[in-house]
Amino acid sequence: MTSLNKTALTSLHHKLGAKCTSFANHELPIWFSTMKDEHLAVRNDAGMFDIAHMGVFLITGSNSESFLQKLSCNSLIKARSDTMIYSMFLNESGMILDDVMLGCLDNSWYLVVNGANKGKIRTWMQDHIMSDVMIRDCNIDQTLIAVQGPDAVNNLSQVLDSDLTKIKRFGMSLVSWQGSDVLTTRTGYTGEDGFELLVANEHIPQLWQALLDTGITPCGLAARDSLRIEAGLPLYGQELSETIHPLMTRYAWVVKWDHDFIGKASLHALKTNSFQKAVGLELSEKLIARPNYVIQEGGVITSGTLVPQTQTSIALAFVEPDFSELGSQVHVMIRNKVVAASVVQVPFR
Amino acid sequence: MQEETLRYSEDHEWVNVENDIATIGVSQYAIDELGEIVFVELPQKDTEITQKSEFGTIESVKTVSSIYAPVSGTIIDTNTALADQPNLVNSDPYNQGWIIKIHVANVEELDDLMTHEEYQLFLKTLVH
Repeated sequence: MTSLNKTALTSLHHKLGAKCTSFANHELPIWFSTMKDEHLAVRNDAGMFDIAHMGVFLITGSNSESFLQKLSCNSLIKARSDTMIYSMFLNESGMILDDVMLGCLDNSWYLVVNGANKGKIRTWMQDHIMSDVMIRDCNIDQTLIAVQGPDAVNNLSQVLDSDLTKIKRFGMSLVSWQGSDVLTTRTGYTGEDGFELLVANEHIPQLWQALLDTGITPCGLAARDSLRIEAGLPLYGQELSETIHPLMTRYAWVVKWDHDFIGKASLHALKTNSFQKAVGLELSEKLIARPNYVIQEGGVITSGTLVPQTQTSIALAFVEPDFSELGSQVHVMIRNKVVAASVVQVPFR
Repeated sequence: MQEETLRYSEDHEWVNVENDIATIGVSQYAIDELGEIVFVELPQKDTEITQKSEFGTIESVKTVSSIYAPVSGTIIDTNTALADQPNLVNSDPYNQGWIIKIHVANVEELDDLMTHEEYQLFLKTLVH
């Protein structure tokens, strides 16, 4: 086993009594108190997450946009002006290599990739590199955190002493804090308003402590997962993989056919095939539908959780096209039980 | 029930024996690992279980785990309160959160279990 990477905040997490786990080769909190309390803090107030495992690259040089445009199935036009966009990198077969966030600020492109895919994407970029493109690995000396929830904008504006209400949804800005630039984007993975901050490692413990002092709840990976499932957001390795193409997902809109990108021709050919569709399910019993549980009518569960507010069992799944309409009934095999489920609207709230 | 007087298995079940009747639950360590318990699947009464075999499952927000019989015997009672309040296992693992009671088939199997002190030492050997 390779040794786990500690983040710049690991020792602080231990002091707070966090239960930690290994995720994407990093030692990260799974919860500080309970998943339920942390989930509710983000829905009702504000919560924050150490997401130092997420890969962040800074891409510069005269060809950086052409380079990223070749890799990205979404068009980068909207990302040119201080705005993060959601996209996917596809392989030559049109299958999903990773889902990413990227945006350009002051001629520098920021690319955020999944922690578990960071090495693969680095290699993929090196294999398709163009002249005058420089790639910097920001994880070497910077830490990404997320502050999420209805109170995030006020709490964070106070701590950073900067009016963050000026940053529009998905907007990007460099905010100066204690003499250090903090890349602040109004993005997140919870379905709430909030921000993600890229902070120099030497400043992050101090900022984290200041955020704790304003009453923001520290949250772990368990709540991050239940929040993103409730918001219907995909997780690479579950909803997305190299056997899934974007048209099967709820994010077919990320594919913009008006530019060239790796995987375009293969994906175009897949358009006419029949394929399973990504849906949301609500189960009739309080059992959690976990990844790879089989659906009797065809298909498979990709993620599931109990919604802390209601104890409703919800899941994301792939089903046959005939069962993908809202209101369709399917049956999930949960260990030795058959549990009825309905196709419901996503997000689940 | 006092944690100090219980016996423990390597799978983190606890056992309390009185007059050949063993009450079985899961330890605080197991609860801390699992997080909030959302479902406990209980076996049928009168089922015979053998030492180290699976007799139920416990589902938390994090994962599904099997529960193993620390000793062999016949199930004489199950904690039906857990159907509506599985979180009793979290809040009171050694009392209201008990899982089954069995009539012990072979008291010598109790010798395979650890004392509280031995169990605490065992926990220190586990890699997180």
